[in-house]
Amino acid sequence: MFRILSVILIVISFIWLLVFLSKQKISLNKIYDNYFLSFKNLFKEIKLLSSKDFPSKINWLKKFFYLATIFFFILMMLSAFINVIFIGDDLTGLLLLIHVTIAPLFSIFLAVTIILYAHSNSFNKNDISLDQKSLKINRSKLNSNGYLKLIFWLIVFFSLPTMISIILSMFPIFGTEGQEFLLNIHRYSTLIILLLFIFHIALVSSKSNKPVTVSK
Amino acid sequence: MITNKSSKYILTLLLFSVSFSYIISQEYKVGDKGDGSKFNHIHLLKLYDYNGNTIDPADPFAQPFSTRKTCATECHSYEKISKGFHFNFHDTTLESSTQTEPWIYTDPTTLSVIPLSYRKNKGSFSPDDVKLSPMDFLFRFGPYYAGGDISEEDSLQYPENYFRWMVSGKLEINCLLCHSKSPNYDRAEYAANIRKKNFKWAATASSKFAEFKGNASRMPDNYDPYNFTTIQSIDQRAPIVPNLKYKKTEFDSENKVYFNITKKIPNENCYYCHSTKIVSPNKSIRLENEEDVHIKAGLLCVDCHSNEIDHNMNKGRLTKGFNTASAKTCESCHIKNEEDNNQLTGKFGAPVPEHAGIPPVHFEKLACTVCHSGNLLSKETNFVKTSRNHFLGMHGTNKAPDVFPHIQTNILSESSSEKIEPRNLIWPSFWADNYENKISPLPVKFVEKTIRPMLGLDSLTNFGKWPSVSDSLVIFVLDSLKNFKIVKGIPVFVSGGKIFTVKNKRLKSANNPLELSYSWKKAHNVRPASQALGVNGCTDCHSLSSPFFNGNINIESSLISQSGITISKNEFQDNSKLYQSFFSFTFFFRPWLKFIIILSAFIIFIVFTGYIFQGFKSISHSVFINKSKKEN
Repeated sequence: MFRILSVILIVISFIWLLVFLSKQKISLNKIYDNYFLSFKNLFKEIKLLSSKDFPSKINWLKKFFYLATIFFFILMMLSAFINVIFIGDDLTGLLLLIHVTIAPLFSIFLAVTIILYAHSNSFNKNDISLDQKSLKINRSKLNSNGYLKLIFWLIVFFSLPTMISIILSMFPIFGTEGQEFLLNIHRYSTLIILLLFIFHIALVSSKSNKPVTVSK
Repeated sequence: MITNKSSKYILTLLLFSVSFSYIISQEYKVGDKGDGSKFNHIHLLKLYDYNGNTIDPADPFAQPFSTRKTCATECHSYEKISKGFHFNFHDTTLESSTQTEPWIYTDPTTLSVIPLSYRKNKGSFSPDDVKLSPMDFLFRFGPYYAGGDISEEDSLQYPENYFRWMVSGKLEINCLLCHSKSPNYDRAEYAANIRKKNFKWAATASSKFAEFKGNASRMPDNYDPYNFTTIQSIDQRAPIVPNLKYKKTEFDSENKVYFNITKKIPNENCYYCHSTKIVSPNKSIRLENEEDVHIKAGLLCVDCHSNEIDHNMNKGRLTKGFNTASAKTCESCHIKNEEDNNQLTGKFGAPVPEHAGIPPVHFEKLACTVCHSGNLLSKETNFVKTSRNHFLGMHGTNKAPDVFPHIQTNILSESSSEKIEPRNLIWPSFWADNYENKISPLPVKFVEKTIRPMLGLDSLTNFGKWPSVSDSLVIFVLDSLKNFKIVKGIPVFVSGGKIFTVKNKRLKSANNPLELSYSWKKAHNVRPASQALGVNGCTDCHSLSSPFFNGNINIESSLISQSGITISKNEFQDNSKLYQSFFSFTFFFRPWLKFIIILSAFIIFIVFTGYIFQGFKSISHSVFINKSKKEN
């Protein structure tokens, strides 16, 4: 079930991504190049860390953690989904080893990235306009920046069940059915994060045709 | 002269009678199906001999009673029962993919350890492959053979044994071996009589109804108890002449005897053939045999290993004709399985395991018995002695812990179902003929007659330690075998997972330890959850020092040059040792992993909830300001 669902959703979202990017006249290669170019530029600017300019330091750290988190995230996703999609088997063997080894690094980087970007991703009037009569969010007025922020907070939200479910399964609390339930929570919330990540990449790429940056 | 018309009549009559007798033989008899009463039926019966004559205890020439005639003439279908699991050895239509405990032909003087199985389980050889006739097979392994099949089927017999069968009689299915609950029923006496080839007397001799003395194996080929000429030719003073006397006190006025038998087979009856004794390889520690947790809970072996009148035993695994529920596997009592409509669990009071904290992948990769069965894992493998191959329970059995064959136990090995399960293992060793790339062991009698003198091994001096010989002696034997017509291809010697051949007067070997070992699944004794593997946490298995993945299995070879060779346990699990070591190593950091992820999740939670509240604050502030503005 999870295999079929994940294949369908990942294929659909990739097709959507390609269509979306082609409309924006952006190629996947360009995103790939921009990503590594951003990393390269970042290491060129490593001197900023020793400067006395605090905002520059923070800005450098923000970019570093953001790019590194993406790197770890991609590794996590590859190690998680290769077995599931292509072999139809549970995560075992070398891929499990890679997944488990990267997991703590990824969780630290994700937590730091969230701390660094939470403030800049808090909603403001420029992102959401309220319907005065019913107090409902008027979605038609949410701009791309608003969508990016929404995706950011959804990723933050879904990272919690992803992490908590897998950590709970490591303690002798839940039996076999509970373990399977926790594993499903981990799987499905990861799948949602993956889809959100694809949307995030699409929106970030369309927003800027320059090396990948994030909203400040 | 028989006309064409009359021959048609005769043929029709013949076909009719054959069909009728077949139908009759397949029919259920009065005792085959119960009426639902749980009452144990009293079996007060007349005894019949194999000719169908009623046995009179006063008759000085009374013959041993026949189970076929006594139990099956009116009440039970012998034909149906004889197709049951314990009596259908040569039925080649049955499954043979599952490796089960073989009958191990062991002879240290010829360096032979040959797993035999009439069912031709993968890796084993049929007794016919080594020209071991049913009579020879019974002489060696018959003490644990319940009768029927190879001991009754004429078509399976070797012509040279014809007269011996006439003397010994057929070994009918011995119902009492399993069903008797009489404290007087002596299975060791049954075994002793099989060894004397007193086949037709064995059931009677072991019962309480008669006293029997004699040794049919020592009788001449023309021995006939009814023929006074042959009897007189035997020295009557010798104790070996078969002499049967029924105990009159066991018979009532109608010459009936009381059979103390039951459908609920007592465990002790099963133990006669299915006992195991784990021994320590260093011989100094004798592990006590603990009983299975199911037995301690009050279950009988037959509660799980049950059968209908066809005696097709539940083997505790999924086999042809059984689904999970009816096969009575661990899962069928302990796990709810909706696929098999097994909605209820807890049969016989079976607890449903919680398996808290154990990732479900374990249940896909491991059989239940890995954690719950056998002795606790140790780095070195232990030997196990089994009734059938170490003749446990017989009079005069060698009680030494290292008596041959050496069966290594608790080898965690991947099975055909791709699950790791605990298995017993032997390293076959035999002289063979490699003809057209098929390795066939040489007939045991040929080996005994020809190779034994060449080897000149003394079984007494080598006792306890499997004998090993020099390469040059093996070269000599293999070279000599080329001169015998019985060897059609290249003579080879199989030992310690290798095939040895002579090339340019040197011993060459082909290494294939997994294919050349023979292992079979073991399920008992089951340990309770409190003693299961993993009860102390993941590191019971996933640690660098755990015997689950680490440690070696000793390869027992018959060559001095191959002594001390071991094989990694991982080889049997289709696992990379490097990978398992590294994976186990990561468990050292597992607490750190948990801590880091918990800390990260906590930070994310704090940030998320903090901004959520801030968001609510902003929304309410915005609504309040807007409303105030509107009212003004």
